[in-house]
Amino acid sequence: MRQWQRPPLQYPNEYVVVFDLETVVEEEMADGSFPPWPRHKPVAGAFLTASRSAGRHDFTLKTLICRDGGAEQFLRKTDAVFPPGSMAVTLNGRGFDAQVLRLQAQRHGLYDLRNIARIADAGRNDVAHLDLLDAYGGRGSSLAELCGALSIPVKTSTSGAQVGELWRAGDVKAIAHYVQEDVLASYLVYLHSIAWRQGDERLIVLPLADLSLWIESEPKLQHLLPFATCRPAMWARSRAPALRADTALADAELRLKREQDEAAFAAR
Amino acid sequence: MTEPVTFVSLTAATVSIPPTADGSVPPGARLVGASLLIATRLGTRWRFSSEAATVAAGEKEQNLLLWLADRLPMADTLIGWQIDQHLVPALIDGAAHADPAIAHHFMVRLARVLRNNVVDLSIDRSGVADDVATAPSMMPDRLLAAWGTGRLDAVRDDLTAGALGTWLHFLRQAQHVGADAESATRDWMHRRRNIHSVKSEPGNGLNGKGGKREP
Repeated sequence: MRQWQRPPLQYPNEYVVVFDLETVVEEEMADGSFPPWPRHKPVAGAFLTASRSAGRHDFTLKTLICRDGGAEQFLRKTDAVFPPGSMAVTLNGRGFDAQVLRLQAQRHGLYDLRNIARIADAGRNDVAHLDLLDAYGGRGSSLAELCGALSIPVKTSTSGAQVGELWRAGDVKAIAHYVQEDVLASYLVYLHSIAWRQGDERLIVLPLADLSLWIESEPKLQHLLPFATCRPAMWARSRAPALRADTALADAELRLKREQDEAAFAAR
Repeated sequence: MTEPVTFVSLTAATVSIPPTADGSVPPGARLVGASLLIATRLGTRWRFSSEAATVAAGEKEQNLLLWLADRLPMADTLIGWQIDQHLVPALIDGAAHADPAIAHHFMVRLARVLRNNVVDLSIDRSGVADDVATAPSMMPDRLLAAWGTGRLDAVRDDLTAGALGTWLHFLRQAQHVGADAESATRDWMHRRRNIHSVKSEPGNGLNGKGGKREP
């Protein structure tokens, strides 16, 4: 019996924004559990933009801090990070980060923030937002567990549970570094996911090799160097030259074939 | 019978060309030279060869690619410095401007040499390759002048030294190859110095230099 099947979703990878928020609550739970998400307010967000052009990948890493009274500006700047056509990537963003952004935008009457709306309203099969928890089955998976299994460095400087304490102590730099690390780790998990989904190693090798070079070339990103030398990055950097040569060989074959065809045509 | 294991240490030099005043020639990069050291292990024995070649301004880059294509072996391990960042893009760019048949021939060989293990020593950020990068003849201004005048002996020497230095640095990092490889390399270098085995490659204006010696 023939059954209808939904074709596999092809996630766009030309312009991807991986993001993560750090949040605080007014009052921690008495039993130490994670407070319900509506109680959270963002204090920092990191946004890694990865775009592809002419066979190479370009990256920018933006970190926004949300100080007291600065929520509206934070939300507007966040909204501007996600241009239409881009795909947001998160880990548990459909259940937390995007929901926090949407609720805070509503609280501040910012109904024109359509990019946040697009991401927060995106369903499981919507290419506007890929939540890696969906890709990895949700239950039992966390960023730390996934990264541990894939040899990706994660939570090296601090942990999410310490963010409230750091924020109250005014250690914004530590929070910024922490959220940046989480975003880089999420991006590496995303690359594993997208390459697997499309069965194409180039989708992880080439961006990861380019990312490693970018991190090494930026003095401000030295705290992220472990991402350029972790096991997946070393593998990608070793494979990338061969894949670039294969692409160039295919181009050369095409050029040669064209020249031969033109010569054959001229000889008629 | 033991299968031979081949290591290739590859270096290349490029110059950045500024655009002409009238804009007829856009800015770009040109391949100036390349060098490769091939080390082959057969059981406990080692065989080495080392060659370098250059092209001057006015000569075709594709002559260098052809020279290199004829020498690039099937490698078990390719060793280099900034392979993905500089070396391979420079060679691919050179091929993109070559005649299609030469470009294809070269890319087949380049793809083949990259197919197995690729070791980029720049990721470690230490070692002798730093010395090569700052060798006098490799300074951008001097390299451009040498390329323009065709006086490229020093460039070939430094490229050769770069390939050799990269190989020795790799040996110090790669414990599985063992100290016997370094010792064999130094013996070969010593004999080569004594023999002064230098040969010139005629034809196509290509300047080459190399030496081969089996222990």
